[in-house]
Amino acid sequence: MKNYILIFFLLTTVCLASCKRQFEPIKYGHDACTHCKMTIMDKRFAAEILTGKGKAIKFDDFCCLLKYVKDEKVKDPDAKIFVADYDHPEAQFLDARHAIFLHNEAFKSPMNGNLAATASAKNANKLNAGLHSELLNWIALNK
Amino acid sequence: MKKVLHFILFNALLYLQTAQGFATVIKVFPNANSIHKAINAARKGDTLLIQKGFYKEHDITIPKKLVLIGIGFPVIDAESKYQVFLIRSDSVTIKGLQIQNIGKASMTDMAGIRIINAKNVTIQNNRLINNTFGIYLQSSTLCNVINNTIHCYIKNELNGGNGVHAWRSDRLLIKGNSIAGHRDGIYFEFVTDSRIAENSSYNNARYGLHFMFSHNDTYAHNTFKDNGAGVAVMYSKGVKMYNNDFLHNWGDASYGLLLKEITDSKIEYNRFIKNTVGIHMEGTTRVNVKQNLFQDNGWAVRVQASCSGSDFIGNNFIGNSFDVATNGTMMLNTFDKNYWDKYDGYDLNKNNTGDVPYYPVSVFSVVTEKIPVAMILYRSLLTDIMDQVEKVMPTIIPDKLKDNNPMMKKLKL
Repeated sequence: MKNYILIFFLLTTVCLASCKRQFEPIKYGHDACTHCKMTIMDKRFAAEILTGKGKAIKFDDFCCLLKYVKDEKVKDPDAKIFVADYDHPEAQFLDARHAIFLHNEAFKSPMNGNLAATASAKNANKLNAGLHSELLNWIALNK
Repeated sequence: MKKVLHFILFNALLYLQTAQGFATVIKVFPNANSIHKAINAARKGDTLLIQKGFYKEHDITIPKKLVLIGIGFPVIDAESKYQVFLIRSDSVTIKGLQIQNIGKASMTDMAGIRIINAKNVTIQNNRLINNTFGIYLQSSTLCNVINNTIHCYIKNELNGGNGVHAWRSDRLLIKGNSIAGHRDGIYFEFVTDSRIAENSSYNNARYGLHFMFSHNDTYAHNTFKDNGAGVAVMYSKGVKMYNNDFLHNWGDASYGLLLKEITDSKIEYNRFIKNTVGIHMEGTTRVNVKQNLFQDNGWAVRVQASCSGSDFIGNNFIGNSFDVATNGTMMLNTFDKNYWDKYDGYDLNKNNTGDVPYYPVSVFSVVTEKIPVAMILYRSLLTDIMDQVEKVMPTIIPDKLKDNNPMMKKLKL
């Protein structure tokens, strides 16, 4: 009887682990960027694509993600795109399709993309004080 | 009479010269803000002798030509909150100081010594301990960073800075430094015509040496050891790498040397020992890889199909799990006159080169390139069978990738 319970538990955990399509946390200092092969270190600029099938593709700079989307012609409508929140790098990643971006050389991101993502236009304006950059969104960045 | 006149004239000249810039030597002792005060009081060209002791000072701007020399390694401590030297003048020299505990900030990169828009600055024989950034050069020309010890002992520091960080500079000399425990040991971005020599860069969290968009630089006689991901060279042309050691860079995203988008470069007389991947090449054009030693690596060379015009000539490949791996069938690079320890051909005419070509890409390396998890079957019976079948009937391995003149004996390098 005990064995049955154990097997049941094992099976359910295996199923749950394999079925759920969710954001895969980035192991900083260990995972490499898919596009530029650099190790991901800077928590403020990391990004991730979660494909429709649930594969996580990780990036160290949002410009790498944009280039990857363009080169590989990622058109999967189910793909989720995540980007680190510049204001709260430790917190949950933002949905890049709704994030507001700022582009300024002062950010000095790993691959010179220099795009900082924020959760709202309000946060972006706060960060923009003294920088005078244009506010950008996902559609503008993919043009 | 003429002699006397000459003498007087010569003396007058000397006097005039010295009167203009009387270079005095000022001794500085540890007191509140003593370095600040001494710099403000000093005149252009003066020498400050900073005496042994403990100085709690920060944000020291050097706006004029000065020489700062530490006697018995005086310690300047930034209390993990501030930065220390900001050099804004040409021809400044800093020698024999210990600068420690630089702070951190999100928008400014705080450094032990920061050189801004300056020429002919020399930073020599200093110790930079537990700093975010060690030496930071921005928009500088002809600066020398020689024989410094730049170590950071704070563990797991993901957001740390780089040991030597150079940005938009040219004609730098980085020589004989020991750099450890930073994010990248030496980091170059938009730096041209510079020379990095005889440095030892080890135990850094990411790369021992990392440079992007930096053209016509030379790297010679350096040692890069035990770095998180080895050495990365990206988006540059005219890179020359001679006599460097790339040792023990081990991990699943680690490379002895990672080349991405490199053009017209030379990699010669280097030693790649015990790395996960000796050299990984992606999008390179005309890179000469000659007279190098590849020993005990997981993959000695990994050449992506996007590379072209590169020559691999006269290298030694010894004890690597895989000699060459590639992800395509097209091969626009040449392999010639290398020594491969796995070569089992013969030399009937005794000219020291094998009579049949060597195919350095093994079947299994083709398989794992497509399906990385297949590595679990490495050295199993199945792969041995595949190897034998492939030998009799070649179908999978790229037939254009071969060495027509494999050497029978190890090359003397």
